[in-house]
Amino acid sequence: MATWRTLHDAMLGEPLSARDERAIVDVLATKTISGRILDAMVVDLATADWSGAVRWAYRRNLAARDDGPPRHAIVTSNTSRLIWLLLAVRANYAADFVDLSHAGLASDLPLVGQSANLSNVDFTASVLTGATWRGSNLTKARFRDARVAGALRCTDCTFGNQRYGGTATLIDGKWSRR
Amino acid sequence: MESALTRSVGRRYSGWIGLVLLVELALLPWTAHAYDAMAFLSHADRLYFAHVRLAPLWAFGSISLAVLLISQLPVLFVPGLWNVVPLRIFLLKFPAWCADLGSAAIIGASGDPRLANAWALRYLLDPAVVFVTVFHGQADALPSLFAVAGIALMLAERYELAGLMFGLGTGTKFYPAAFVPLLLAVAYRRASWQRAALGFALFAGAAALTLVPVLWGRFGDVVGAYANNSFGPHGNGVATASLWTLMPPHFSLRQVSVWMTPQLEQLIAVSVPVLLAIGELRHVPGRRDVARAAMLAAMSIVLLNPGAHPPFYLWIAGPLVLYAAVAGDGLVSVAGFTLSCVGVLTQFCQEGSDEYFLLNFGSASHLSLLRCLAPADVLQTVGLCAAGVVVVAAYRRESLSHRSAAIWRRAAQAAVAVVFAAFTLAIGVKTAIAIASHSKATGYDGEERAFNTFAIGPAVRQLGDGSCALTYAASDIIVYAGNPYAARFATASLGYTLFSPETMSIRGRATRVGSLPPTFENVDVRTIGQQPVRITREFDVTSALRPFRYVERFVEQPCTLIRENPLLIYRFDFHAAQAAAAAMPLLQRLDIFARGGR
Repeated sequence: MATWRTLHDAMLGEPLSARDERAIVDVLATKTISGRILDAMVVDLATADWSGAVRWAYRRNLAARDDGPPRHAIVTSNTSRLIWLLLAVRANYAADFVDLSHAGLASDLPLVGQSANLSNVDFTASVLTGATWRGSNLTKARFRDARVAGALRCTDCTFGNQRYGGTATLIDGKWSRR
Repeated sequence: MESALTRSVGRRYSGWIGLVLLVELALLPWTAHAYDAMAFLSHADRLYFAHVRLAPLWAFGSISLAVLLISQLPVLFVPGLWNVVPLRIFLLKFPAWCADLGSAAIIGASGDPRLANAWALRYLLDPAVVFVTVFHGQADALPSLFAVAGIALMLAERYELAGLMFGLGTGTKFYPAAFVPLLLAVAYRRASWQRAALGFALFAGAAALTLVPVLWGRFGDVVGAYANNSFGPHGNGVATASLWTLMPPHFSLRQVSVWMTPQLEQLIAVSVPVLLAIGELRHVPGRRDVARAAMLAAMSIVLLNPGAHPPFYLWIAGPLVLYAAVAGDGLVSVAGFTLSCVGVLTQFCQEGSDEYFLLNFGSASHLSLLRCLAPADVLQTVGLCAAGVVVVAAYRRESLSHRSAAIWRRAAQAAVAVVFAAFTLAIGVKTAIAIASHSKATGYDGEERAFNTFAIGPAVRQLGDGSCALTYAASDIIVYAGNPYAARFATASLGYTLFSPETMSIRGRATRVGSLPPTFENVDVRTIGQQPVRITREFDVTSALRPFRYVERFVEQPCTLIRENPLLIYRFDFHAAQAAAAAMPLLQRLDIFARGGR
């Protein structure tokens, strides 16, 4: 807690350097941290530099393949969680491109895909957990070759200018409204 | 022959006035500042459908409140009109539009009778007048009518009635009180101290009668709202519509360090009218002196106001054009036109674009014809120059020749006419395109939801055992508190940026927050203190908090580490309230003071 408080005050007080941001993300990726502190760190990172934090988490997620077990599984799980938390706090109006292709994003977090702004996010060839997403914005989001354990559905989600009130299902990288 | 020519000129101007009024009436329903319009409409809706008390959340005088409520009366009688937004916006703006007519008539009657219609038209075409009343939907024309009437009555040496007008103006929106020092000085010098005292007494009585209903028990809240509006949530803001934007907050003067705080700047703004009044004690002021001092007083309380908003520029237009009519000063009229343009252009820079004013039409394609043309410091530099021209021109000893005066007057007329034509044409084209594209009039739904969502951040006190005492206090905001009738349509929830399991003790009962009815959200809310907070998860605590209170105290275990978490969010469902009202018999619906209920 004392470490978090020190980091929190430092991040609020001065602009976050790329080196410090990467170091913080690396700690969050490799250590087991309580949910409360992780949530607070995510909010601080998002406030300081949302896109940079996502980028570092994504790169660490990809680099985890070079880690042997069990570190590979821990880092992939932690970075996946971190990325989904950052996506949850993404600004409503944000539409810039976010590259999450080939990432391991399987997660059992309840908030995954729930009222999230996932516009222009590239999930190409990423690993996702089957679930029913709700109320999310999937405008220009890409899912080609995404590997889903189970079925991925989206209810009341937005595709471009249309909000589709029914349930769409991801089939072969495309959302089908059947 | 001269009188025939005068009548001919007057008729021509009458024709133009008629055309301008027709065009304005046609444009009234289609545009509005979305948030301000929804704030006004919601205030009426809360009274008519939720039976809340009249004054809470109202930061102006009772006259403007009464005008608003009367304008929206049709909704009480025919609840189905509730979401006919263009009609409601027309009704909202109509009183202010009529007030502008009144101001124009007074201005026309105050100067050369041969040019009465010309000066009336000049006022009606002023960019600030057209923008604020016809386009924006603010009601500054109402206090402006009282201010202009008061100044005209001073010129006519009817000081007692002038005091009454300033009092009623103050009871509409506070600023006409700035003309009272001038009233006292002029009445004293031109008449007697007794008449000055009587004028002041009438001002004070009228102001008290019209302010007490809205200030009683709320003085602190109104002052707080005024301070927030003037100085920002942190007390150190300077609005881009103020000339103080051009001045650095800290500078040195002869090795003396000077800090210009917004509070000091406000003090300067309200001191200038007093100094102007004191200056008129040096002699027996003539009509031109009085009109000039009134004009400069209006300019100071707007341009030197650190919390100036663009609609305030309408406060200048009336006294300025009145002075120009009295003095026959077309140069001041031209400079005043420039000043009004600065105010309008500042508005488009603050709000970003014209799309915001056309929310009547939802997501129709917009042409972005009206946009931010220059940064704030450039606009305010132009404003400063224009204000300087006004001051220099108004104080020059020698009057312009008839020919020069006519040239400047016509130049001002031409300028306002060209801008009016271009502006109304642009709005007309955009409105026609939006109607032709069959856009749905649902743009205001989001503004209505935003305006009727009250997010209160906690005041946190750490207790020794790892828990925190959270206090949520918003006495003037939770208008549904202590009102069972309204509470039926209100909900309360705890909002989290990111949620971690915790226990919350609510009214002495410990509850696992995760067990409450949850929703995932994707909202960016602004708290009462203007802090932006992102909410991704909410938990319904409506049943635990009914009946609602102004102040809630919870104990959270463990303490959250995220700023402004959790928010206590109150929402009001006007759809449900309006539907309930529509289902009632008319006589029952008219009992807007009934506050009981299950």
